[in-house]
Amino acid sequence: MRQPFKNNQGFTLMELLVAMTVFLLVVGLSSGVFLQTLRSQRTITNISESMNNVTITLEQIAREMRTGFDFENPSSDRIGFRDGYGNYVAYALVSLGENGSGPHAIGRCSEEICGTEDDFKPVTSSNVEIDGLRFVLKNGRVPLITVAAEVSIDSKRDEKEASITLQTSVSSRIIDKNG
Amino acid sequence: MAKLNWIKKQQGQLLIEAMVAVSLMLVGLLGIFGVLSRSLGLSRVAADQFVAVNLASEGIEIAKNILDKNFLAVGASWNAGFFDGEEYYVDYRSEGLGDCTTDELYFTGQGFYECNPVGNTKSKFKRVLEVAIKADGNMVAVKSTVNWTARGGLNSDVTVEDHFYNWRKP
Repeated sequence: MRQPFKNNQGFTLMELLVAMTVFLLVVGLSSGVFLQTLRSQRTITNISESMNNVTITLEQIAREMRTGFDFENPSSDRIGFRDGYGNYVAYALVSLGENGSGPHAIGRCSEEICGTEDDFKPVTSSNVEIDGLRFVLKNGRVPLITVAAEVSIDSKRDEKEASITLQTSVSSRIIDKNG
Repeated sequence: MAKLNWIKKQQGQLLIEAMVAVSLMLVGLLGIFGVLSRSLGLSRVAADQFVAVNLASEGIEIAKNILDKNFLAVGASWNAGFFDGEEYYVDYRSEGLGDCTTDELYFTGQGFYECNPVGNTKSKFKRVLEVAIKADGNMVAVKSTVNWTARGGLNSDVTVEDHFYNWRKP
């Protein structure tokens, strides 16, 4: 008569403890790696999304300014001008929340009068934080406008303060021939 | 007695097996970590490239601005200040080519890249404008190169080239 379970004494407490320890170790390690992966993936997405947003916005601003004229003397974070069709356009740093709170975005206003922040429509995504927007106008018969946008690339988890500044300049193609 | 000996023999092997399994797993996890940190580093390289492309195209726009000013200036040739085969350093405040004495770009407290080192912090970017005159002096080719050294010591550069023609007649 075969007795299949005769030699099987079951697990001892030691064996069980060791097995559980090893199991916990392995699960802990892999979940740690998994969490870290998620975290860095979020950082990477954040960086690339921020850069994409700011680059395309700078490109749009540059395109509009290249055929623009009548540039206003910019205050630090706002500039207004007439685009190639003669319509008034203004760009400024606006906050997306109430009363200057919340994340900041680059805003564009195409009304004839851009008095308040509500006239500006955000052109960057709400989950991209623009830390600063600056304009410099070298006026003359050939205006040169310099735009610098500072975008935050913080990963929300580790609270690291980091930002990247993108800067470009545009020389208007509409030149003042008669001075 | 025989049974006890059997257990004694097996115990060591079990531990070794477990250790091998755990170390194999560790090697795998380390690999994943390596890929992760590499991808994070590459995304920062991409961010640097974004900045460099914008700075390079800024160099082209500055050259265009100087050419247009030459056109408006009375008695100046359209490409005054542009010499074949020369390299120039400029920034957004430049009135003419070669207003900067260094190719280094410094980051100012106001948040701009300019070539003035005084009171500013050095950025990793350097910009050089190469000028070539072609078509009997009727074409100026400007090559704007921005190069930088990334954190890992890797040298990268971005070049933007544009050609300007003497099409505007007064």
